[in-house]
Amino acid sequence: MARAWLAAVFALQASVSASAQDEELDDLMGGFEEELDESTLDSDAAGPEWLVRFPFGRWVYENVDLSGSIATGAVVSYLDHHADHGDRPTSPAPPGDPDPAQLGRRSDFTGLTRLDLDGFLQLDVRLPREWQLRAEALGWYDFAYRIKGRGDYGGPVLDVYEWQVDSGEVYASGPIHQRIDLTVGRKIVNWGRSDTFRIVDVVNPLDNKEPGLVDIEDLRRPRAMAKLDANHGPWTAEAILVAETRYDRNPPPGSDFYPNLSRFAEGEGLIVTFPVDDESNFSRKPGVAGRFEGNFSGWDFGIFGAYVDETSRVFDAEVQPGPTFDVRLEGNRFGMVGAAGNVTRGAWLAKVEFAWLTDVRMLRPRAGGALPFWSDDKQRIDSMIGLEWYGPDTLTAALEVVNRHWLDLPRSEVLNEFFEQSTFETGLRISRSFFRERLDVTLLGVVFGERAQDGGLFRASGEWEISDAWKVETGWLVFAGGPNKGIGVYDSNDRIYLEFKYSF
Amino acid sequence: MSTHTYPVGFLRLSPLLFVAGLLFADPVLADDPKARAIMERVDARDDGDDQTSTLQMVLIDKNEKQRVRELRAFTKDKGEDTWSMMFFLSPADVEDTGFLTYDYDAAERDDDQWLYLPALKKTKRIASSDKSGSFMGSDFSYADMTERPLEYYDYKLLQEAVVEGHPVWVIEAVPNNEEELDETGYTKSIQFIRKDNDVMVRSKIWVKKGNRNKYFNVEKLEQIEGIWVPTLMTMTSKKGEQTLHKTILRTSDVKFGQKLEFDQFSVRGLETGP
Repeated sequence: MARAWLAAVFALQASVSASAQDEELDDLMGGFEEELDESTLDSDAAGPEWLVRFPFGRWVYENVDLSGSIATGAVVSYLDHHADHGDRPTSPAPPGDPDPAQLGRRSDFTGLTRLDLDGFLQLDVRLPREWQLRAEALGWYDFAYRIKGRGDYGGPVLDVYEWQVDSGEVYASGPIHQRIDLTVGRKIVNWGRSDTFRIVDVVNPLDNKEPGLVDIEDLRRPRAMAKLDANHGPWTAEAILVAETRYDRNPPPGSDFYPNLSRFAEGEGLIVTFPVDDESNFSRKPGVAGRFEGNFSGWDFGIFGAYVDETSRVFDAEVQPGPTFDVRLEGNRFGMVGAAGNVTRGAWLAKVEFAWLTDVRMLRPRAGGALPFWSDDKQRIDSMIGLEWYGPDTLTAALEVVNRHWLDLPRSEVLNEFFEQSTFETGLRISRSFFRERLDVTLLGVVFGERAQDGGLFRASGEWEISDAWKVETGWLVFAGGPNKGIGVYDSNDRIYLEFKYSF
Repeated sequence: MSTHTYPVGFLRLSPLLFVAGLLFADPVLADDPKARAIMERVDARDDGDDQTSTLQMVLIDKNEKQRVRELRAFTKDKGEDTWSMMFFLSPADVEDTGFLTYDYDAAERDDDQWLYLPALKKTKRIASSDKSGSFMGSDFSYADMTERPLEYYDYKLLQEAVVEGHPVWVIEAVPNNEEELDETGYTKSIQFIRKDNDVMVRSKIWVKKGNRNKYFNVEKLEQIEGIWVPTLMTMTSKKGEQTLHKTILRTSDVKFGQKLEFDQFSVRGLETGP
């Protein structure tokens, strides 16, 4: 009897179990879509197939790629901000007149400071024997000056900001041996491990025309060079001959990012003019640079060397006789030996960079003459340590701390107002994507000085993907005040910006 | 675009979609030898080597609005490890962005990953990240795209069934350690394994975060050079009956035995482009 009862119970359990399994399977199957409409997958990625009807059309279709972008953006400075007119010499106030604004016209940089249309084109051609050709061009026109009145802005400002057409990278590259590549042309070489600061990254000049807001694509300016790259397993060696002297593109006199430098000649009653720092030539002796790197599981290292022109020129205080003198900007060749490395563990990445710079030009006190100092070449040690964290949901955070230390810095009241023996820079970047990577948000803070006493900047930006081709980016840029040097002079340059970009 | 990590070990074209479990202490979840034997066959299935392919990923939101990502992918086996490299072909603003990954079979070893950012002209080493995150905004996660260690899961053969006219085994996969659950973000999955070719053709996944389910379905399975390759797949995220988001992944131009060089899977190869 008991056995019969147990058998009945087991049979019932088995029946219930089988029934439950069927229901579960039905539930499972019900969650899957019935049919996929493959027509939803059609895209125009195949490219312009009509090309193949023309002579060489097939070759062009398969080997030539033209891409680029068109963007329009606006920048509004919401603080009251004026600067000395760029066409008028910056001068110290005459005796008895303490107001420098009386010396000449002022340019108004309050409100709309940029309303531009800019374009970028990139042509890639695949050549035989695995060679490739790249040619980039970029340019923009800024309507803000026409809207606000071009006459209110100096020539150097209009030269740099109103419109420009420039070449980007233009080079041919390919293998000359199984493991050796040759690149010839205007090229960007981005060395180092830091994302925010430059330590061993000394080869290419920067575009600083709008500090904190220069598009990432345009941040570095290519330089003409011949480059050999050799690779074997984890090892990479690179040798570069830099043929072109090219400098950082900096804010010109009369712009909203140009500091008041009249203090250079204070008390002398002299008129000082400053040239626009934007030129290139091939007349100087070529520079050389090289690196050797190894990439291994969980870590890597690189050693770097360069003997090239500094990408930023410094004031050469050579004084001409007479009441007027030009503070000339002179190029200078300097040397660098450096090292860099990464170590990863789990979600963490540690990075370090170190550079010993020799013959870096700086200003030095002068015993007499019109200016209180002149140019001198010194040695400097730059170092960086950083830590990145790759968290959940595409959250990343990167902290980098930089120290730049002059060796043998002379003691001078005037000099030390502009130069400190040891300076610190700290950058914190936090980014995260939202809505399935449709929105990218980045917070960036950079402060100068070990206690942020020398100013800094903060930028919050967001980029929204409207469609595959269209994006809109908006942001808020704030400069923290500091002493009248470095980025501290920008503290009335806070601004918001908005840009629409179409990529093809 | 985000510069978050993009592991690319998924380029085996057969997302395993192993999943994690919720009741680690429950003795009911003891391993089933028959189910494990089936999963070992799935794991051992020939999925090719020296592979090149083009991937198209269509992301469809709940309003049917689409975004399209296209990539060119290269993979090569190095022993039990997989080296892979992929490049964005579109959208245009991230074209040529490249990812290089050394996906190590040893569970305790972190993957090595590099990211090439053409806008910066720079290759950057990146750290391994949480694999439960979305892969390029899709419904696939990084964990879906990498091979998960079999030993991290307990398997149970639930029943046998028929999918699209093919007999299948229905197997439940549950992680047997908390680290794997945290890494994948999945609490359980039920997988449908075709008996004739050991290919997983369907999977229902229970996602820990947001109390959601994901449904993986192989829409098209082709035999290329003797190797079974899912060439059209969907992954649909649902909350209850409501579809939240859907991803269609199509692979084309699949070739095996391309004699890819190991040196190609390097920073140099990343910067040279596809």
